[in-house]
Amino acid sequence: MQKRTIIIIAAIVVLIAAAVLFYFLSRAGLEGRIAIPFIAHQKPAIDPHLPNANALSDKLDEIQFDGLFNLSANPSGVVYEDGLGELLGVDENNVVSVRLKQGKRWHDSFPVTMDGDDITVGKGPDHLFSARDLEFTLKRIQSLGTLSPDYILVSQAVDDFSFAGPDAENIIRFQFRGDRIWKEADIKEILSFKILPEGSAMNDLNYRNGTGTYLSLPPKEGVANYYRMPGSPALIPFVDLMPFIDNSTYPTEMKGKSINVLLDTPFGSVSPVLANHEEFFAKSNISTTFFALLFNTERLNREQRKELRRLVDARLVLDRFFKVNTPQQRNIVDYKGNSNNFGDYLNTSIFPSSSYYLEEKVIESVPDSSAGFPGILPDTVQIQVCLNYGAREEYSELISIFNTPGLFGAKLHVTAVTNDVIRKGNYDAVLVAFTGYRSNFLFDLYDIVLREPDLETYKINLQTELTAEGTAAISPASLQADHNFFRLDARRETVDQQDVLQFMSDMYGFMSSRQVGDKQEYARRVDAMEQQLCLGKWLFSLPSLAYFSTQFDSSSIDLYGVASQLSTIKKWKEREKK
Amino acid sequence: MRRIWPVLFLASLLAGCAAYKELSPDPEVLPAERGYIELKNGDEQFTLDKDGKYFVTFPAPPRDNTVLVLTLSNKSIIGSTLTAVFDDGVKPADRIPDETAGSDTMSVYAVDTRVLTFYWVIDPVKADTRLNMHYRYAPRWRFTFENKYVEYSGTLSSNVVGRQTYESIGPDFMSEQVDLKKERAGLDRTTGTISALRDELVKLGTLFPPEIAGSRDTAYVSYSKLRAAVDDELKFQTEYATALAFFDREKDTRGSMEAFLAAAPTFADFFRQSGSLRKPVVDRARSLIMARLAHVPAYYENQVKTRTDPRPVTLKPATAPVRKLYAAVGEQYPEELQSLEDFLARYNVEAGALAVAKERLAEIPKLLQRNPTWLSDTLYAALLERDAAANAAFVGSELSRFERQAGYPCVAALDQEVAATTAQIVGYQSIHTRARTVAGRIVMESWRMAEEQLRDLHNAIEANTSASLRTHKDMFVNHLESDLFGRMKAATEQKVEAFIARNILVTDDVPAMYQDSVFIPALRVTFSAGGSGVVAQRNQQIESYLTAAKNIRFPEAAIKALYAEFTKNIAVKGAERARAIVEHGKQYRGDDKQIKAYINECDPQVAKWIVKAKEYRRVYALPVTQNLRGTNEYVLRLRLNIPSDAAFPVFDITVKLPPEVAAKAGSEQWYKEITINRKPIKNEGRFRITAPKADNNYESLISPVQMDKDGNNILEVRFMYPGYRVFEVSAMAQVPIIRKN
Repeated sequence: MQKRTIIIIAAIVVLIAAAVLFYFLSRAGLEGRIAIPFIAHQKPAIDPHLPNANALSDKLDEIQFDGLFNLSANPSGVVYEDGLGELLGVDENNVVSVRLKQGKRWHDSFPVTMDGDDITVGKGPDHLFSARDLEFTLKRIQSLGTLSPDYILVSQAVDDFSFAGPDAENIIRFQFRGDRIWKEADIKEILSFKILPEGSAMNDLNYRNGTGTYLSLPPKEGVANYYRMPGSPALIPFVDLMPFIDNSTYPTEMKGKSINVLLDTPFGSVSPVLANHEEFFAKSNISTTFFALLFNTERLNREQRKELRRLVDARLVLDRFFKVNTPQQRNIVDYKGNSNNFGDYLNTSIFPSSSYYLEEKVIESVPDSSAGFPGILPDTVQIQVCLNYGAREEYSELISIFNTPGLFGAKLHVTAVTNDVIRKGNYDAVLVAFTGYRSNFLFDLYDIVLREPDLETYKINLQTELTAEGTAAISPASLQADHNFFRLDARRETVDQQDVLQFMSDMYGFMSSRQVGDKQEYARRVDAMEQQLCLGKWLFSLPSLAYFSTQFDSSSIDLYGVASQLSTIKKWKEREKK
Repeated sequence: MRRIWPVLFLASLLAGCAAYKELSPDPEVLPAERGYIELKNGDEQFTLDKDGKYFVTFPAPPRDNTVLVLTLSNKSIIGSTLTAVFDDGVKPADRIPDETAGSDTMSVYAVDTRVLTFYWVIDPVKADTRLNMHYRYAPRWRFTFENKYVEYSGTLSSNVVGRQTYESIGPDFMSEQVDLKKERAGLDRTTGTISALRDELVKLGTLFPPEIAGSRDTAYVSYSKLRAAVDDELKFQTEYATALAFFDREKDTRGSMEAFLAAAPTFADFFRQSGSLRKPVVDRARSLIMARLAHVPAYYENQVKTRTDPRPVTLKPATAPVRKLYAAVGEQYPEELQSLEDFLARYNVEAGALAVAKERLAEIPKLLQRNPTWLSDTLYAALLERDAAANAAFVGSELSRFERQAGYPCVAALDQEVAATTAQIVGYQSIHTRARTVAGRIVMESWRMAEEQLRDLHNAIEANTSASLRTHKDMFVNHLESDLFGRMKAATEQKVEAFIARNILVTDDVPAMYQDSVFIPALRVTFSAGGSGVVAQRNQQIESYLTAAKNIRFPEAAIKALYAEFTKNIAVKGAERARAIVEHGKQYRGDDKQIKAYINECDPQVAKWIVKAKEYRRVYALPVTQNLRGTNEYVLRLRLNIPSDAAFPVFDITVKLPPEVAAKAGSEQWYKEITINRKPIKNEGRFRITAPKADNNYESLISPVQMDKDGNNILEVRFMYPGYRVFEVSAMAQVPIIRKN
């Protein structure tokens, strides 16, 4: 090669390198911003009273809305801070007095205009928080019933979802039930439901007007970012939701500083990309996502479902999923300090192993030791999965595992399909990731059983009716074949109908109970009936691991719980530069 | 009326003066001894009127021992009395007794020369009468003798004893032929009567005036004859009685040498008094006595020969009267009897010495009888003194020189007893000397040496030569053994008690206190006369005490005391006291529930029970490290055992923390670790731990805490604190609410 040619090539390389360097040095940084990724076509829907399949939705409730009291945390644990109320005390008759904060403005008091990245927060007519907003909110929660965790929360303490007042000093009084000593933490927990302004729609897709730390900016393509509300104590002005095609690139995006908060990593595993402790720090949490094969009860009878459940070796799937004992093993850690304890994530029940009900052995999983008879299964068990609504990476891995020749009697065939295909129910089983589940008493069975088989729109098909005694009961209409992944139909006369009705009733009992003992009993019944009906193969849960950029001061981020990950966001602060 | 009273008073006086009328005899009364003289009023007799009162004066006699004799024909109708004091009346005390009060015709009054005039007072007169009376002044002896002579003569004549029997006593006299007792009885009676008569006559004789002797006074002559007859009869009867008494006594003692020898003084006296007796009587008596004396030496020797014991011998009856009897009858004292006496004199010296030795030895049991102080040196000094005194009492044996008696059994017995007693003394000396040494060791608390020397005493050869010595030795061994053990145990206990009292509040290095030698027996017993069983039992006894002291009383006392101080103010050495209580608790084997509760309360490793919902229980959080000037780790453990109908009971636990612990909870985690049954409870999981703050009264809620139905639910909280102290924490459990997050 001629020397001149070499010089020219070298000059071009230098110029390209310089251009790349200029790009990285000149682009806008994340200073003053909290950047959180989301799947672009899985837009978070903000409803502070209903759970959402998109876990980010529930987390955003915390930054946008206030309760009378807000959940927060410090190094010693959970704390409750005054939100829209100030607890004055509880008397001997269990009357809880709360002074409503005055001068608290709704976000719509501050008109926001955006010009590119320039944001102007104006000052409009004051829309002040009042007792009527609280009254409206309680009515909404009451109307949502067991769909809302807040319903269970409030109904434990306040029978009629009402209060007295406010009086001249803006004090309202709740008559709490007399069956316990009401400690401050309990009272504030009960009154920590988020408050919507009076006049809001009772059933909206998104609720954007709150009083919380961050106000919602005008949405772009249906997704809103957040800006610090005037007068807010938050230290970081912006919370940006960064759209990505799927979660596979999250670690590299974080590495590349496109985001600085990653609330869940792909596979829930330790990310080698983010291993540099100088740049990132991690906090593990309890599992919030599990994978399951949900059986189509219209295409597989009970014996076939049992055989399919027997056929799918969840441990095998798990080991291959995490590439256990291979050079590519996906390492995991948990909040207890364990590492690579993969077996702890195997599920054997509709209740995940991480949940209270399994962990405290309220439910004892009994392994099926009966001899298998795969011959009763179809030649090929058609399994469908949609990769477009989160967990793309994990789904892809599972497709590969299930389609591995020689495994599972060569009976399984997994196909990636669109959401519309799944809605049609032409599958023997569907592979679904359930995200944002709670492991506490409030494990959400509706999310599994009553969820509309539409991954784009989260909908729970709960219909209730009054019994002859005047009490609420679940209606068989809640289970219609076209409206759940299992294609269960409680109204259809099949050999399974009575068991399905019983299962449905027990599920409703579990979800509507506010007594711990009742929940335990219903949990056992639900599990037992599900074991008989054999509705799915409960594969495993994912570890939960969040990464943060060292842009933030790690000591300012106290994370407890799952949905409340962002409840301490106003305390987050950026690390002081050396 | 006032004029009448003086007149009446004077009249009464005059009437009184005129109550007695003096009769003035004519011729007047003369006190000379002239026989009976009629009392006349001239030629007539005095006339006495009924109810009249009269008196007659009689002059004093010329000499004392005179009687005034009055004869009256009408004594029955008049009352009269003689007095030396008369003043218109006679006091009873002034009346001179009438010596013939029973007579209807006579009154006899003793008069003397000390009174000039006697008044014969007549009062009353029962009827009008004439005083037909004679009077006589007479010496008393005469008046008496005249009146008694006939009686005296009759008495003598009726008590005279025949003299034939006495006169007949001679060499052939056989006392069996006479009823001696009857004869003596009669003789006693007559002799007594005559003796009394003689006494009366002698007494009467003392009244005679001196000048009467040699006179021809008829009464006196009669008196002298009667007196001589009485004396002669009395002399005879006395001699006769003496003879009868001898023969009667001799007769009575026949067949009984003892009775005979007992009467030796009587017999000897008989011979000494035999001078007035008839010689044949005396000869016959001597012959009888000499016959009896021939058997006396054998009698005495037999007394000694038959003795088999070593005690002193006393011959009975004593030989001194016998020796006199020999002399009285004129016989030589027998040689064999003299030899026997000589032997006994020596024998009794030696036997007496033995007796003294034994008496002194006998004092030893007395010294030991009344619960003596077995460890007293004074006791042993006294015992050894008795031993020495007993030993010193012995004299050398000289009995071998008495050939005749040397073979007597009592001599052999004496030798044997002397040997035995000597051996006993030697044994006693050994026992007492050794016991004294042991006692000294015990007093000096030289337990080991005391035990060794006690064992030596028990096994000493000289203390085991006889059963009595063994018994004596065993007594000492037993008492000293008991004292040794008792003292050693008491000393051990005293040290332990002092140790306990001294250390109950000590908090430093409590485990080391339980290693102290005070809890080791001062002596591990290796000897007992009672054998290995007793040794084991004693060791067990003291071990039991020490075990109880070490494992019950010391920890119990310390824990109570420490706990009282601890609860008084936990801020002052609270952690040290709590830890000390726990350390004591590790040694405690008692079953006092309160003590165990104290230990558990102070032991951070022991979970504190919470058995009732909705009630706070105060517990202590205590350090499990011991950095007195630095940061320490504290532990609080709760055991939840709350009754519940639920199959899977679950609770919220509220822990109210001290502000010092929770003050910085907002900036740093106040706890190091919270676990339930050793499983960590972490906020990141499904658990909820709320942070304590000033505005929630520093309460931390831990929820949900699953409770095992079997009660094995240990909630443990560990936290760090820069100090070494105790914190009060309150905990409460109740059914949880269902939480959203």
